[in-house]
Amino acid sequence: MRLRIDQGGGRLAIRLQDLGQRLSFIILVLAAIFLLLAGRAETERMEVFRTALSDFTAPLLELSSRPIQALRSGFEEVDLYFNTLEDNRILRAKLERLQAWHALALKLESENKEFRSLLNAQDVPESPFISARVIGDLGSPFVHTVLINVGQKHGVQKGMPVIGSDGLIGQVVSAGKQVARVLLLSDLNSRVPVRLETSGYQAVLAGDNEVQPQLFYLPARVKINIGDRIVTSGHGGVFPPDIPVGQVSSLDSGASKNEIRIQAFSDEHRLGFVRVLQYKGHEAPPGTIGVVPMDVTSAKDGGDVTPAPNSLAAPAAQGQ
Amino acid sequence: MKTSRPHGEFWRFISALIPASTAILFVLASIVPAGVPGFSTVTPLLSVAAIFFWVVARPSLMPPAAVFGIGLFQDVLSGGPIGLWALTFLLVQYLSLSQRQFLVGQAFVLGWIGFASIVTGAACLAWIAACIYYDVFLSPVPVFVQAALTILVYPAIALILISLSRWMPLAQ
Repeated sequence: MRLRIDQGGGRLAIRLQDLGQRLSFIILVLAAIFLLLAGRAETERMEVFRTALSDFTAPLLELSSRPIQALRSGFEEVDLYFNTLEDNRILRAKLERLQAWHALALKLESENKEFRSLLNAQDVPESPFISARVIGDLGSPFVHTVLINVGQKHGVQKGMPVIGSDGLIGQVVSAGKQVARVLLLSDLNSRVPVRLETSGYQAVLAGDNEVQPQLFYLPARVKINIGDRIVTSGHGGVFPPDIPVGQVSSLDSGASKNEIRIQAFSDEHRLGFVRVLQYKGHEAPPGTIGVVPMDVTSAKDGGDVTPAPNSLAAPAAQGQ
Repeated sequence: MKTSRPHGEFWRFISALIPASTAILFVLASIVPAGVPGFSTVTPLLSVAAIFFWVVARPSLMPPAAVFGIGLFQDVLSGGPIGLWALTFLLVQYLSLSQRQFLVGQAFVLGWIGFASIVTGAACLAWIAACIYYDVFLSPVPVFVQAALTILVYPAIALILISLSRWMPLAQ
C-alpha cells in the first residue's frame, strides 16, 4: 500500500536494492575466483578450512547416510534370501576347492617360516587398523574422494592407507577431528607404487579421473596379460607392501602409446565399510622381502599355478 | 488475515528460509552414498535445480549471497577445488534472473527448456574452470552426463518445490 502512495521513493528504493544485488553479485564472483586462485597457491591452508567445515557437517551426513544404508542392506537381504539355494551350492563347491588350497597354504606357511628363519629376514609388522563407514560419496565429476566417519580423534592421520573389503581403495588426504577424506585410486592426484604380483616388476598406479586407473613406468620389455594381479610394492613408505590392489583389465599397446588399465578389487561405488591402516610409513624400502630381482624367470610361465608365491620366491631367488 | 499477523510474521520468516534450505538439503542428498555403480561421479546437481526454480519463483529469497553459500557448501563436501561450484552457481543465478521475465507465467515446458540451457552453460563453465585449475585436459563426459541427468530430474524437483511454494505465504 505504502509503495503505491510514494511511487517515486519506492522506485528509488527498488533501484537501490537492485544496485546492491548487482554489487554483491560482482563481489561474490570475485570472491569465488579468489578462492580458486588461493586454493591453487595455498593448498594446505584451504585444506584446513575444508576439513573444519567437513567436520561441522559430519553429523548431518552421518544421519542422512543411515536410512540409505539401511535400505540398501534391506534390498541385499531380500536378494540373499531368494538366492539361498543357489548360493549354498556355489559355496559348497568353493569350500571343497578351498580346503585343498588351505592344506597347501599351511604347508607353504611353515615352509615360508623356515626359509625366513634361515635367512634371518625382517618382516614388516602388521599394522593396526580402524574401521570406518563411508558417509559421503564422490559427488563430483572432477574429484574422486569419499568422506569417512573417523578422524584425528580416532587416530586417523593424513597419508594412512585405506582398504575396502577386497583391496586397497586409496589413502587419507585430510583428517579432521570427526571425519577424514579418502583420495580414491581413480582420482587425478592418486599415485600408488605397485608391483606385478607374480613377476614382481615395479610400476606406479596413477588415476586420471577415469573409472579404471592406469599403470605407468612398467619396463617396456615386461610381458603382461589381462587378469594379472597388482599389489602394493611398499616403496616410498606410504603404503605397506603386498596389499591387493586390482588386476589388469585392458591392454592398449600401440606404436605410440602403451596404456594398461587396472580394475581395482574394491568397487569404488559400493563402499560401505572401510579400514584405515595405521601404517607408520617406513622411509627405507621394506627390506628385501617381496622384491624380486629383475631377471627372475621362474614366474614367467607360472601364471596362476600357485597362490601368490612372491614372499616365498623372493628369498629363494636371493638364495640362488 | 490481520488478526493472525504475528503468526503470519513467524511463518513468513520460516518460509524465507525455505529456498536456501531446500538447496542445502539437495547438496547433502547428492553427497550421500547411493551405492549405484557409476552413479556417484555423475550425481545430478539437484541444488542447481533448486537455485533456478527459486530465482524464477521468488528471486528475493535466493540472493547472490545465498547462492554463493550453497556453492561453497557443495565445494567443501565434494572435495573439489573450493570456489568452483560457488562460481558456477552464481552464473546460474545470474542467467536465471535474466531469463526470469520470459519465464514467469509461461508453460512448464518453456521453463524446462530455459533450465536446460542454463545447466548446459553452467556445465561448460565448471568444466573449463576445472581444466584450468588442474592444468590438464579433463574428460568433459562426466560433467555433461551430470548436466543431462540434472535436466532429466528437473520436473520431479520442480514438482516438490512448486507444492512448497504454494504453501508459502505470498511475498510483500
